[in-house]
Amino acid sequence: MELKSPPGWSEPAPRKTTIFSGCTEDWFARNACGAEPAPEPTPEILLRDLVERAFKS
Amino acid sequence: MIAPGQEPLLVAALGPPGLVLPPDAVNPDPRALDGSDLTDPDHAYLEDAALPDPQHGCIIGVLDDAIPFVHERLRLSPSVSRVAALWVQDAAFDPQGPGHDLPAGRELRGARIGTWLEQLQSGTIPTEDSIYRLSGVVDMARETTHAAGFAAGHGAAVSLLAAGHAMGDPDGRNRPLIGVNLAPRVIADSSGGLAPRVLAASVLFIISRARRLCRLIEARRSLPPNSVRLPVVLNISLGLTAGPRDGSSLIERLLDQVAEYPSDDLGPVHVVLPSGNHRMARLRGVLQPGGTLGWQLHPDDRTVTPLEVWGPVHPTRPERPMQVGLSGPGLKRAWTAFTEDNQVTHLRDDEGHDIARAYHGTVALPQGGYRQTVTLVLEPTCPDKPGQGWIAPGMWHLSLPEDAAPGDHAISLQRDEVLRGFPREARQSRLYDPAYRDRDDSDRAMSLDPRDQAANRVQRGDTINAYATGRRTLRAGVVTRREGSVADYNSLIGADLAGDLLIAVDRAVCHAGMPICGRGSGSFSMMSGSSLAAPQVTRWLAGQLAQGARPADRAAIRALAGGQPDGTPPVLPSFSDDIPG
Repeated sequence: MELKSPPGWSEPAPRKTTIFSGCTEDWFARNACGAEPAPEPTPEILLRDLVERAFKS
Repeated sequence: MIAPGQEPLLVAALGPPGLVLPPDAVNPDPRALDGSDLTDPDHAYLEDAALPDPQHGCIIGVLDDAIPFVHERLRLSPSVSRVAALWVQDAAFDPQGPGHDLPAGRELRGARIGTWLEQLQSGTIPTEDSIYRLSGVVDMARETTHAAGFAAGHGAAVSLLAAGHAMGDPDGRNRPLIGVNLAPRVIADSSGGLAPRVLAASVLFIISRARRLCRLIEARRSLPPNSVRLPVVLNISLGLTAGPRDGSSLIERLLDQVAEYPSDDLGPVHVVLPSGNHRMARLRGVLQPGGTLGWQLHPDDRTVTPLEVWGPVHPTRPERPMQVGLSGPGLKRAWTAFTEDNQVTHLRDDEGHDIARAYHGTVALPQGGYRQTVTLVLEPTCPDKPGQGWIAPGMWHLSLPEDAAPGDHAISLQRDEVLRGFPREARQSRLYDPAYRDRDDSDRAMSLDPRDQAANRVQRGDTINAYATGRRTLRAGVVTRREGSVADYNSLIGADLAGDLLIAVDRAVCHAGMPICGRGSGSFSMMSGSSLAAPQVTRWLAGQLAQGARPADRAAIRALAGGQPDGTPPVLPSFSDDIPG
């Protein structure tokens, strides 16, 4: 049987965020109806902020 | 003390309203706690009679679904609750309630629960179930998964193994529970895509309320500020089957930092996680440059199927993005063509429908170095709606190009199946390696990888829960009660380690499951899995901390449990004889 060639992968586009896993970004792409994950600071800044808030607020 | 004007617990939304949470669950105006938790008796975390001893208490935190806060094993007496705080994330927001610093949902506290329990005892409230409905935790008119209505759900089993005590048990008063009923959409998403924000917010809630409970004890007992520093054991009986497994994920780094934070008003925080249940599920493999592995997709899968590729560690940021090749039944192989970091690309059929999506990323590791990752997400094999894209079931193949970075590329599939009761028409795909055998010639399970392994392979090793590879978290593994042998399904740290601590769950090799408490007082069911090992380890560790033990790290905890210097994980005595059934 002759195998079909798929059209190939599309031209790559920039992702929406640098912090979320591919699974998270895919979930938003499929389910969020145009809404995008809110921009987040880098993991280092986010984590420092979260931990400070938990223990100091 | 909380100063007016400080920020609420977590201002970031848990996700777009109406998708992660029902729209009426969202708090429109989160604001900082106002201090009424220490002054208003109706908002108190616990009634005075239930406050733990400042020297011998240990707070137990549980993140799960549907924690049965009315259950008799979470009461000190018939009308006094031991549940200090419960965040029900998907309940309708209550503007009059105490949890106005939360981004969504409703917070229940011990004093208020006690009021309902008194009414239950007097007959004003007819049944335990009525309290779940009265409190807004169960509302069958709302569009959500009604996990809090399950007769024997995951959260009931876990929370009662961790913190359930018979009324009159003197330990009960010293083990207050702070819990989070995670949003059902988060539990139902087995790929963990929704989890990072929600889990981070939930951990913060536990820490925040644990600190406030310590302040309440000081206020009620006229003790100096910040003198009560109860330890906390946080149980998270959740897991992922794919991820970097190097401790670099956001959740793992958060848990490590929480456990290492030098708090001046709270005791040490320990986090317990299950080892995982997917050692033999063929969800984990390894590829070398130029290698190929099979990927078997079942028919009738109505959900997407994610797979993650994690490349070797580079000392500097890689100059070329990682590429992968994908072929399917009747389809030639097609290679991704990423041109730089952090891109997404789609593989489409002749009609323009997606076959797969691929997301590239480069992660800077906290300990130095970089790893590249590609997440491949395949479309369902059965369309859920007319016009939706779908792919042929059968044998697909994943490949790496010859010029890929030298070294092991870790391949792992996300779990497709969900907790019992959560709707998701999923079929679990598996990796395929013709050399892989799960039974030997005498039909015994081959539960460890053979010594001579091919370079490209499916493996049992390094299948540990992908939330559990940080520096500090404690991994709980399963042994069978009769034989004391590690359960075959128990995932592995490295080649052969089943966990940091082990405890009995299944009754015997051929008799899976253990009795667990259901939602209703006195009810029970049977359940299996390392989700049930973690809360038993949590219970044990809380007991040790309450007696004054302060182990500094995993090794010290293993030693406390009688672990041997050779690293063999100790087996803890079982608590499950206490459980009805």
